[in-house]
Amino acid sequence: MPETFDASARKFHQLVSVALLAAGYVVGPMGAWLVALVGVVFLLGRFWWPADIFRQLAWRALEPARILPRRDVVEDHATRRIARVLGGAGFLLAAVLVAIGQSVAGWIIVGGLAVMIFLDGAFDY
Amino acid sequence: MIERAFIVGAVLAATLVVALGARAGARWRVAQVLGQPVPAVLRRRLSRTRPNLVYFFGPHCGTCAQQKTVLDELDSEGAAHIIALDATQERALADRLGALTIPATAFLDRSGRLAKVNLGYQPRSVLIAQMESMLAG
Repeated sequence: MPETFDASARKFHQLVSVALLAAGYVVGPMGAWLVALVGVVFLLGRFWWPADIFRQLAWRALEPARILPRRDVVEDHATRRIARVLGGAGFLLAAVLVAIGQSVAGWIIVGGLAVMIFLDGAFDY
Repeated sequence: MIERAFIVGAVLAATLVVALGARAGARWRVAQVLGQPVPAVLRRRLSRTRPNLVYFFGPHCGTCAQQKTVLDELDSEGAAHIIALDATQERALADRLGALTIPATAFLDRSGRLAKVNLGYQPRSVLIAQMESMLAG
């Protein structure tokens, strides 16, 4: 049988990430911390599920409270895991760039990654 | 800060417009090909006794492997006749059948016309429901 995954938690994770990145951009240089947080959640959460605090929020609070309905679907997670590591590394690099004053380069990286995550989370592209 | 919020809003709006436009375009394309007869090269491979399901896959597509598991089950149970085509090798055929993404599955009716096109992975239950609906109609 093909392996299924909780798509609701995955989408919640993606949309919270995009919201934090957008908030990070709006608040300015201090937003580098939010970008770094998303990067750490992406990278650590890839190898250790408890570190994925966005998914944990979905699994432990929103889904049990029926605020977020769980939806198990067949997904190719091998590709997603690679993308997640690349994305996490990109966010950490972007956070460093913003922190050292290379804001334009940093936010371009964040913007490109955020758009891809949003398209995947909202439209399954 | 307001300027940045405006930029975020503009990027979000542009992304939404492009994504919704692409989705509408794909639906329009599928609507255009439904009911069309498939090319002779494909018609020669059709089964006369089982529902025909054309399956487009790609060599490096992980979800396609999962779709193949479902289709192999249907094929081995005799529920459907599966015609698997590599979309990267059969681009013209994929385009003709409205398969704009992989995996894609397309049901053909008894006369060899396109009856249903699915873009993306479809679980067994959906494919069986579509087959039953096609056989009933």
